[in-house]
Amino acid sequence: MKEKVLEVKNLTISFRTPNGLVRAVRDVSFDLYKGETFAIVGESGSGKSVTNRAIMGILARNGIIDGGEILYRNQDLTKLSEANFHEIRGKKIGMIFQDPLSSLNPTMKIGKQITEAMLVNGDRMKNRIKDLYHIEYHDYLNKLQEIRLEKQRLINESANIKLDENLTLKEKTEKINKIKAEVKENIAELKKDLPELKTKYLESKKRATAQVKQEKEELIKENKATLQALNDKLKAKKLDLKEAKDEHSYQAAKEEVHKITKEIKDAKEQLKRKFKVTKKEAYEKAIQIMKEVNIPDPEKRFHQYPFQFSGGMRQRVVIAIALMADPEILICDEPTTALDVTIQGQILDLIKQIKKERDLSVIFITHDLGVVANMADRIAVMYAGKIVEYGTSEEIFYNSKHPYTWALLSSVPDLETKDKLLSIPGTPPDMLFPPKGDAFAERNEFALKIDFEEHPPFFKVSDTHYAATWLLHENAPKVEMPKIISDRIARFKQRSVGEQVDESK
Amino acid sequence: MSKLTNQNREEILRVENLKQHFKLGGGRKKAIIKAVDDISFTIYKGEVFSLVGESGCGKTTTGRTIIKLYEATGGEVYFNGVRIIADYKKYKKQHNELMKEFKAAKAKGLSEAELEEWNGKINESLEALRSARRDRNFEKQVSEESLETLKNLEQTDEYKQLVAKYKELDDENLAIIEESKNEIEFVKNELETIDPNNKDLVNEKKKQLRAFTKKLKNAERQLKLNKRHFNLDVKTLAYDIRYSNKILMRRMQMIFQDPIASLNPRMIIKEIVAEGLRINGVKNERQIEERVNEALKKVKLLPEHASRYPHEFSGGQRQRIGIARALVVKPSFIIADEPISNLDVSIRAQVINLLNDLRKEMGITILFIAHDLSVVKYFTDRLAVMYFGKIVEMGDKDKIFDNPLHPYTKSLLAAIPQPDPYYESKRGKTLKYDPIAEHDYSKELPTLREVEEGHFVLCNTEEFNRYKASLK
Repeated sequence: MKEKVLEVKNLTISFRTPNGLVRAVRDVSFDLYKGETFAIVGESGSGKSVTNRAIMGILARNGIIDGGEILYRNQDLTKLSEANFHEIRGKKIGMIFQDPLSSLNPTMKIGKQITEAMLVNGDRMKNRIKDLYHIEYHDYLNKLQEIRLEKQRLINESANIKLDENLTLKEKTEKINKIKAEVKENIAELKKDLPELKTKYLESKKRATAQVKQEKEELIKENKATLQALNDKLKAKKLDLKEAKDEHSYQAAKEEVHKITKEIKDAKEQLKRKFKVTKKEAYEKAIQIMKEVNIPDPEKRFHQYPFQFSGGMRQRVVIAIALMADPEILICDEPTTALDVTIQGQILDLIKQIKKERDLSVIFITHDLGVVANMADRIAVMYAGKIVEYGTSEEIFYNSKHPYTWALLSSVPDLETKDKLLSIPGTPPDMLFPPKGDAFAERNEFALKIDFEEHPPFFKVSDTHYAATWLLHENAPKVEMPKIISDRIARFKQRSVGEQVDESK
Repeated sequence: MSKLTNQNREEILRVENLKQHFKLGGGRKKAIIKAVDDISFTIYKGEVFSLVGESGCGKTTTGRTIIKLYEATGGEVYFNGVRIIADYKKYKKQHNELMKEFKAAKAKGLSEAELEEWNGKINESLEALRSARRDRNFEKQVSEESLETLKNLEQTDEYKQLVAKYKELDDENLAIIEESKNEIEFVKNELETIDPNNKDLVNEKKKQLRAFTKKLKNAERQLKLNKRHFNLDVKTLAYDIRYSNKILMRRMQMIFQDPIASLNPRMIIKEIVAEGLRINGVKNERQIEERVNEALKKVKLLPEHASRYPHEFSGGQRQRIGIARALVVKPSFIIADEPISNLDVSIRAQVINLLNDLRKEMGITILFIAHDLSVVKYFTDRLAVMYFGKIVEMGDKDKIFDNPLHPYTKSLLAAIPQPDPYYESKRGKTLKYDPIAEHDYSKELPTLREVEEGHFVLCNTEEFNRYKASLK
């Protein structure tokens, strides 16, 4: 079994709007393993982007995580404070957005945008101090976050009680008062440790600052000696230059001087690099990454503006920005929707290539199942905030069980399709009032009576393949997948068999 | 050019050497972008013709130039056999050259017979020049023929039809008026005979009287209204006849790519759809409402949707409103500019199926601009592949998909993602088309040649022979 990088458990997210709570994500769970590509497929409004924004910690203000956990290296990201999230967002989990034009700043040169994050977080001394006292600091911050979450809980629960129609006004106030008292007690309990933690953290900060200051002085002292030596050498050489008699010796001396001045420059640069990320260092790294994402002529491109790039190149720049911090997980939010077919192929190849080279774990969000066949190891199909089917790529494409997956597969023609396409009737449900049973039931021609009453649990198809549809229940009528898909699969099978025969010959 | 047209089929649109160049910058930085560079193709009645290529290859520009959203730099376009875009510059150049020749010949001395011959030639060229100049303002032209018909408007069939239609309506109303008048008379007479103390009966009779009067007034009002409607319809008819060229252009309509940006957010659907009718001189509100509802029904929307705003609709519905807007003026030719590339996969099928139905029911010819080749394969009869303003391959769908000859077409076909993980895992890197490495055009420039029947490729002689050999 591969190493688990990210684990999402029963995640539930809703948005508070003037019309009520919109339940965007309902009880979503999945794991992401090291080095695999996990694709989330669904139409717009199915909650796939919201899930990933929650993982990145960039939910809109009115978004609330009602329950569930997002575990990254045994840390629950939903309970992390903003300061702690800075250590993860971008650095450990990178993201590529859908529209490369709107995710780049049109008034800034590409080079500056690529190196920006590196330079802003580039004070190495400050980072070292932070590293030294970060345990105490985070203990303190986490305590504060716990108190904040407790307050948030009070707000959320009282809002829910107020909306409950079964209770009388008196009961409501009673319940709210009870929760208020409970929360108050909890907060008092939590606040007890606070002063102690604070003094601890301040002390450790002081200690760390002093230590780093000393280290810095030592470094400068060390360097001073070497610089002094080099400067003396330079002076001697300059004297030689003055006293040079013939053309030949003059040229030789001049070369020597150049060499030493360069050495001095290098030494100074080296010293600077110990304190912070220099512009030169960032430039070198940016050029290297731009080469990695196949941007031709990176030295020239570094100084250009986004409007001078084509759509595909812009998307490459966005990928380069995400790669600058060496993330472990890369979230691609519909990276090819705004691009056309040939460019799409190139970008997909690129993502595949960097995934292999860097052993990245990729979460790939899209609404186009055709794109995913090329990329994904495992696929989850989402509808109305729930995962309705998940399995390996082969299982989803050759042996899908959920009617919604069928509908998605049959609404796109492939090169041989001649029959009328099956379009999905109706529109996705209004998530202000999530349906009682299966959310897809109203648009589903195979819907059973029970679909309107109770949401189906996951039925096991194989060890890796699960689908949430009552059709898999042992008492359900047998339903075959639409002819358009089964025909296509038969055709593909024939083709692959043909190819294998060819190869064996 | 005759090679590109098939004599056996009725053509609806013919494009000859169309050019669209854009000027950029000024001074030293001045540059010309050749968005569309010398392309020719023919579209036959009832078929779907596709323009395929990556973004920036000029396929959208071609569509927009044909419908005259841009003024063409060069080339001619014929629609239903009528020249809608004329290449004035070409004729002017030809004429100037002719005049130069003539002057040279005149200096040498000409005999009487030769002079006559020259005169004929020059007159011919001048006539062509004049007609091209006229056709530059093609839409505003009013032909003498149409003015003649306008004078005798009352003799035209359309006018007679209108008169007959309204006469029927009037007869109905007149009958109602006659009937109610009689009834009123009758009831009045009855009232006089009835005993005034029998209140119940009197009240009942009075009630009847009121109902009949109302009916009478209603019918009289309808009569008046019909008269007004008749006048408006006659005005529309006169407009149609006078601006017959404009009406021809409205047989060509366009569907745009972005269903959000192409609908005005401050107009209700009815106004959006009716706008085309109003611009085209339809003034009768009743007729407008009927035709809007008819168009909405055709795209499977309900008449009650007409009073809503665009933001209340989903993406697929919005695109269907865009289609209704095109259909309302009863076009015979539609330019669909990537109508599905901005839609979710699950609603793409709705729009494709709808376009397919419309084509079968109404016999509409479609120029389909797209980059998604699997949809193109499903939907079209013939296609042209464009690359940087030029058509590189053109022909029947099956011929191109089975035997792609041009390397760019091959790279496009190889890039289509397929819902088959096994196949995808076998596939190597996507082919990249590099024109400099692929072709050697230093000796001979390429032209569009027919490699097999109904299959054209942009190539020079050496490549032509190679392609031909590969087909056998």
